[in-house]
Amino acid sequence: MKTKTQIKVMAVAVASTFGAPLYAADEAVFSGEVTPKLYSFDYSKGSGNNATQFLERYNDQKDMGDGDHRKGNYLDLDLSIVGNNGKRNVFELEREGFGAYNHRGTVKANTDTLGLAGYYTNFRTSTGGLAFRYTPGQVPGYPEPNLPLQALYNNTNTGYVAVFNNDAPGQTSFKVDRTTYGMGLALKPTLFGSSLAAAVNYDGYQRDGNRLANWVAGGSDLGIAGVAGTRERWRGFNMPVDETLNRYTISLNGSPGGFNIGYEGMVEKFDNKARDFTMGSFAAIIPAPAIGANAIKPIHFVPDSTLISNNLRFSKNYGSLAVAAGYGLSVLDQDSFTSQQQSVGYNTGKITTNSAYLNVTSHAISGVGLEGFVKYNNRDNDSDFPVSGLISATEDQRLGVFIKSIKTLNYGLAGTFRLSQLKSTVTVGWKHEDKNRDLTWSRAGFAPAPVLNAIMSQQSFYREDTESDEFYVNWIARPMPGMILRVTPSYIWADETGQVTEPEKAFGVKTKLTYAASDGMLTSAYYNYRNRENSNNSIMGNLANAFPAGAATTQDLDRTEQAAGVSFSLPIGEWIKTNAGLSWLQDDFSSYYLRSGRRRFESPQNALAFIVNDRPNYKIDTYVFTLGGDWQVSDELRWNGSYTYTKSKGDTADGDIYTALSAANSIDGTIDSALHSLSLGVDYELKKNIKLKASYVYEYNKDDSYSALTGAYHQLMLGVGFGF
Amino acid sequence: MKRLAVLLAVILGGALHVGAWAAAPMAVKAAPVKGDQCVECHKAEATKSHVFHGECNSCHTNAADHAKNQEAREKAKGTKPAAVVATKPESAQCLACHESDKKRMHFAIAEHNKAGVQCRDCHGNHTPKIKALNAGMEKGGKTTALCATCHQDILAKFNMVSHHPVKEGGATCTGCHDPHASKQATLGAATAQCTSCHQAVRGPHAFEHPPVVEGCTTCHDPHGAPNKKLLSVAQPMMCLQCHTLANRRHGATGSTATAAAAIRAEVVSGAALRDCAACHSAVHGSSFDQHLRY
Repeated sequence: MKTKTQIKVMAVAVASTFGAPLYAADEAVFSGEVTPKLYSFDYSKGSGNNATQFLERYNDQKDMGDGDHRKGNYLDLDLSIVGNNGKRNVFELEREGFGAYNHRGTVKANTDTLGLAGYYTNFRTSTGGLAFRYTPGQVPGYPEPNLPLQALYNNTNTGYVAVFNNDAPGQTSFKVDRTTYGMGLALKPTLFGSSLAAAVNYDGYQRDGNRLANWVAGGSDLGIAGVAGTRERWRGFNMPVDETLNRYTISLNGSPGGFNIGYEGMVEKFDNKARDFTMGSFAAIIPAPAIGANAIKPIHFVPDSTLISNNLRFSKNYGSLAVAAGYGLSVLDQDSFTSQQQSVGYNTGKITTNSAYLNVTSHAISGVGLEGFVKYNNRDNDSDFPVSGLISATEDQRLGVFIKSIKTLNYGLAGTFRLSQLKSTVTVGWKHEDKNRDLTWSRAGFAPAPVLNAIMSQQSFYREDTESDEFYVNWIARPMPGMILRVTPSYIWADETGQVTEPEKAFGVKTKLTYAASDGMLTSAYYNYRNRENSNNSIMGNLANAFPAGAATTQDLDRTEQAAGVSFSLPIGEWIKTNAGLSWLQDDFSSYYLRSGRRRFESPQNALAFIVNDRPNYKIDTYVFTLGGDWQVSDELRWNGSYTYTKSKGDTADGDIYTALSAANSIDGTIDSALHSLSLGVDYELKKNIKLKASYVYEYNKDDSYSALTGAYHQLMLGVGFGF
Repeated sequence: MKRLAVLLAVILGGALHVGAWAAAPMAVKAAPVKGDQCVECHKAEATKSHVFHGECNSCHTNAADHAKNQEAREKAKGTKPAAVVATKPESAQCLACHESDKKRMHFAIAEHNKAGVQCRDCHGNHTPKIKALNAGMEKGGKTTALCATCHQDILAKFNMVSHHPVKEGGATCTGCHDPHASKQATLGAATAQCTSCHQAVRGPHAFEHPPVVEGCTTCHDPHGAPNKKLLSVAQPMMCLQCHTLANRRHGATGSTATAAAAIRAEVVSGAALRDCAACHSAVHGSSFDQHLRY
């Protein structure tokens, strides 16, 4: 009784924090559960106690005693409180904890007229450095066995790949905590006595931690000729992460005269408080530095920015006709600039996006639905660019491509028909997409005569226009009670593709069959297939000061993705539920491996030729097998368990690339990993208001491609739930 | 644009042809059946209260017929009249009240609605659809578990070695996806769905990487991938789709020869091929370096 009173007082106090009227409306009955939990965890194997274990990257834990992250114990608490006044839940408070770096909570309060909500989450991700496959000490340099290492250090080309300069010595663990939080106030229609509803929300996050920031200095950036300069170029340092976001949103919704109208305005401020790094930051640690004027060059600068958006949506039913429309305007402004940008007058970073849509649907004809839509999006980059001298005071910027704007227009028609055969619904539709890009290439230009080197548009696969059509069918059938069949084939063909990654031709089909029997058995099977190809975009080389030259070189992409699976959910008697599933996913991809002598921006003053070196194939198969169950032994006792096995295997490339990767190490070129996850749980109701809980989790990751990723993890949890 | 004009003409023509610009028909309501009448039989539902859901027939529109028929069946001797099964609410009935909610305003054109998914398939007004989680899904939470009941192919991707931490509790399906929304009714930047959490990569950058501007999924599979960093294709093939590899700076000797045989003969080491972003680490955009190295 004492506990109940305490919790009730606490709940009322929290509710009062959000507004006394919420609780005062009606007398609420509170109930809930508090569950203290004791965890014990142990990571084994892996890359050593001082490095981040692969399984730890999303599951970082800390011992409550000595703070050990690999083995230990800690306490946590789950909490759930609900207040109900017979009409609704007037108050809800929930907290779930899984250790120092993974916990979350929500609080809600409701009356007839108001709603209040708040939340927070905390989650840590950990890495070993350059992605999860590397720690700084494990980044190998130039391992080409056929060439003398010292000679390669002297090489001004790939020589810098011969050695990785770790400016974070001893730092093998990099972690970032993301803490999100927010609250909102909803003013319900009953408050206004009309259909009007309003809401004010605040959302924010804080990202704290550190990461290994790797970078490569330019050939002359460090000002050191020869061996030392080359060897100093590839670097990595311990870069702090300190970001905050504050987002304020106001929403207004109403239905005046049968029109549903919604407005949402948002201001989102992003601040990067981490130190601004420049090349000069490393003057003290780079041997014999001669950084000079390069000292102000920024390293991984993340600008502060503000996003302001206004969205207006509208819908209305006119009998059997329904119209939906919307318009949005968002402006992203850069708020902070590097000293180098400021020194050359780069003080505007601005991206404006206009978007709009119109949908019209009609059900005027019995059994037939018609739909048409138009959607428009225009992204304008109004930043200061190019600014003379941003990179060099004496040369042009050697730009790649600058996208001044992208305008996208989509439209389509669809008809939906209800058929008596197999109780079917068939949708037949067509969509069209137009993309128009305003691209700016180098100011050097080719005509009338090239003055400076720069990438020419003819040397890029990037194109201004995309124009494609898609035809699709969506068939949903219910051939017998409990059974649903979905089949959705589609075909895309494009006259023009702006990027090679866009499909010139694509055929896909998704199928899914589900069957729910009256005894509770649920079975489903699916098969997805998608093939897309593009051989639409070409590039051309040049002779020195003469362009273009030679035959066009065409990229040719061919990608097939397949996925298939079955799953069963089968009750055995009244008290046992079991489930099992098997999925297979395959990604089969090939494209040309294209090479050239020089880099593209070294043209047109230098001759440049492209060749097709090879056609490597990337093919990965993944299998996921799951098995689980739930056994309600008695009213008091419930067991549950699950096991998941995931296997990914394949080559990331074959041919010359595979040979080169294999010569370098055994890490790259192949993917061969298997993850076993086992969990067992038990709940036992000791008394009416006391529940014992326990769980055991075991994970084992085996990586035959990169053995340092192999590791295991055990976790045991014991908890006692006190209900009231 | 011609096609667009034709499309608009068809839409407008259809609208005029319909000609039924009358008020939307209200859901037909049966005689009031109070919740307390229903719970005389449906005792398990007695504790499931919500102020606007208390009247059973607001959703079960034939509740009155169902109740009368049940009464008749109980009284009948000999031949019993057929049972009248209480209807389950269609989405249209839910939307009669909820359509003006900002998130549900466009449910009529939402992907879920077009796929035949009804409100009741996800929302259990009487009891939650996901009542309890097994130990392996506790961190992921009930919302994720609910989505996984249908999206088995996506669930499989979250088991791959690189994935968003959904099962681990660091993200949720609804954190990225609005289940009531339509792709045909999105507003804002093409990358907005991702940069609403990943603001650090949104720039503005002095040197943008064009595929990043076009959309994050050009390179990433947000659900999961067997490759690091959620890359939908492993390095270096991911980058070599669009980029040619120059011997200068990437080849062993840095030869700038233009003859095909000479270009092919230059050795490019595995160290240079293993991860383009190990050097070009500002792959999302740079404030200074046009080669996206810092």
